[in-house]
Amino acid sequence: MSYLDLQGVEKYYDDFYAIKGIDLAIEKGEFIVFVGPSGCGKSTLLRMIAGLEDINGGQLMLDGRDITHAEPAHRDLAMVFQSYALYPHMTVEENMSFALKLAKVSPAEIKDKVEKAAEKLNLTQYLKRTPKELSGGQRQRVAIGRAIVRSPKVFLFDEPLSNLDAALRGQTRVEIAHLHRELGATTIYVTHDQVEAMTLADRVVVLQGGIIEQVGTPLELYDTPANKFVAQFIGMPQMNILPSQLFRSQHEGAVETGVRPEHMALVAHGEGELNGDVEMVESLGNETLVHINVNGNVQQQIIVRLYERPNLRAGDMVGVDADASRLHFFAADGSALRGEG
Amino acid sequence: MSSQARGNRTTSRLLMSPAVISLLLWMLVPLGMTIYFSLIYYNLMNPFLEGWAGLSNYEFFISNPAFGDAVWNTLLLLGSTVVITVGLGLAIALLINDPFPGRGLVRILLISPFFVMPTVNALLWKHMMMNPIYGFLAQVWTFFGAEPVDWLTDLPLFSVIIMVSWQWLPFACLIFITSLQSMDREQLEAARMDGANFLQQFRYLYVPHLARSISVVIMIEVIFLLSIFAEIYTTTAGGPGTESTNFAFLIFTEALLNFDVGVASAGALFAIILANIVAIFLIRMIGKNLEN
Repeated sequence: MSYLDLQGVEKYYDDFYAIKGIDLAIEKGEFIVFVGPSGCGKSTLLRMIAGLEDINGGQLMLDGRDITHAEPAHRDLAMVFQSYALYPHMTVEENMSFALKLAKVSPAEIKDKVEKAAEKLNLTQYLKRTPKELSGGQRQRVAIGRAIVRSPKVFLFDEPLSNLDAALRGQTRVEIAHLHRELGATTIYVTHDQVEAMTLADRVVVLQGGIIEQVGTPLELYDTPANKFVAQFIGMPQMNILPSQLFRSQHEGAVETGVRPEHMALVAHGEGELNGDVEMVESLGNETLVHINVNGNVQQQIIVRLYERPNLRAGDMVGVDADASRLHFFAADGSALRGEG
Repeated sequence: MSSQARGNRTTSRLLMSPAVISLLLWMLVPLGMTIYFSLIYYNLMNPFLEGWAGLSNYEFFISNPAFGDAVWNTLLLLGSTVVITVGLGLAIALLINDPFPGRGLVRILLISPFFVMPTVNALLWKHMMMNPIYGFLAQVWTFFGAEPVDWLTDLPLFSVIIMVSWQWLPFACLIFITSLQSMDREQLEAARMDGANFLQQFRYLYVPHLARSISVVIMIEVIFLLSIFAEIYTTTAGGPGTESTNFAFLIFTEALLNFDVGVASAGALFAIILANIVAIFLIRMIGKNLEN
């Protein structure tokens, strides 16, 4: 039996079926990321695990204990909220010690735990300040500190980086990864940003419409997506997907064929597997993204990623070859077809 | 440049001066006249008694046995009403903060007593609710086999406190409901995860969040409740005896029942002093909540 076990977990809002039976086994110490488009149910699922939303069906087991209907405070979980949800009129120290104080932990022990957490998070010099005197990144760290002092069995993060600017986001991502390595704590992290998912996760759970589309390591999702949705959701720019008959290599039952932008090469016009005109060239310095309308059809636009700088302009006619060993085949229902067909 | 700026400032002062001067006169003339009247013998019932009175009007006002009662009643009326409206206002605001069917209607009903005129309010309570024979409360008492209470005779000040509280509760409610709308949901959820029960959430999250609106409610209520008059005039007329006489009513008694303008003016100046004492305590207690 795994550490945190979701067994057919369901959620209804009146007549809206939000979470449609989730089965997921999380091992101790794992860093799990829930990712998906907005409205996919990832935050709802996290809040159900936290106990902030009722679970309408199924079971939730933590370390052998049934916590399906336990109070949020009695689940041995700690959560970092999107808005940090720091208590505005308390100092950093009071924020971090609030849960312990309510649990009637002795003052000496509280002090010890808070100081250790503050040291780990570089907050020692800010302990006497209130949240509004801190920067966004510092508030973020206080929110994490508030979770750490409780030594929970599982950490829950609800889009914790979405309120930070881009530079700070990258830095905090590294800090969270570091902290996870150091604490070895089981973590569930919700994000809509696939870069966060890919860089932080041991395993990524891709959700859509209240069901799990695929669970796997970041590279598994990238290399062998289970279906068209995962294939297009993971990877930036997203995978090119075109009708199968346009390609040379075919697969039994495949209706559509996908290929990632970096697995394509430009050749002379008329000599490629696909041919078309250049719609736009995005030169990003380290790479160039070439948008091509296949057979002049705007509906069939593809992107080719090149690591050199081609001498191309919009309107140029080009051919494109796809790497036959890196093709993804999808059946009519969107599921991926693998192996020799 | 600087002379131009100075010229501008002179012009703006000149243009503002009619407003400032008229406001100043509006305040200074009545104050000056009150002080003047308080120092002379001026009784409408006795036009032959005139001349410089010195401090004898003040002495007369203070030595009136009703004086102490009036001070005490004023403070009691003020304090009880503030406590009742803030306490009940918080409770009701928290109760109807979460959505439920018919919330809009409940809010309108809650706020409507504030639109009732003070005299109408007092008469409604006096006749419909508190009348010992046909009043609603008497009916309830009789229904349960108890002796109906003669509210205005036996509990005059308490009755006035009930009326005024009923009138001011909507105001407190309204301010608190508005303030609760800006309460951060995630903070409450974080507190739930931290193991705070409702009382602890109230103590550590709601009260600090509402501190400023509580201060505003107390501040405004004190300003208006120091001079409660209509409710007393239309119900108990200060009685029985002086049991429900507050400061405003005592001054009214001197001025328009005894027609002693001099003593009433002295009383008015005492009222200013009383208001300032209350204001000092008020600012000490809650002023700092309004600062940040």
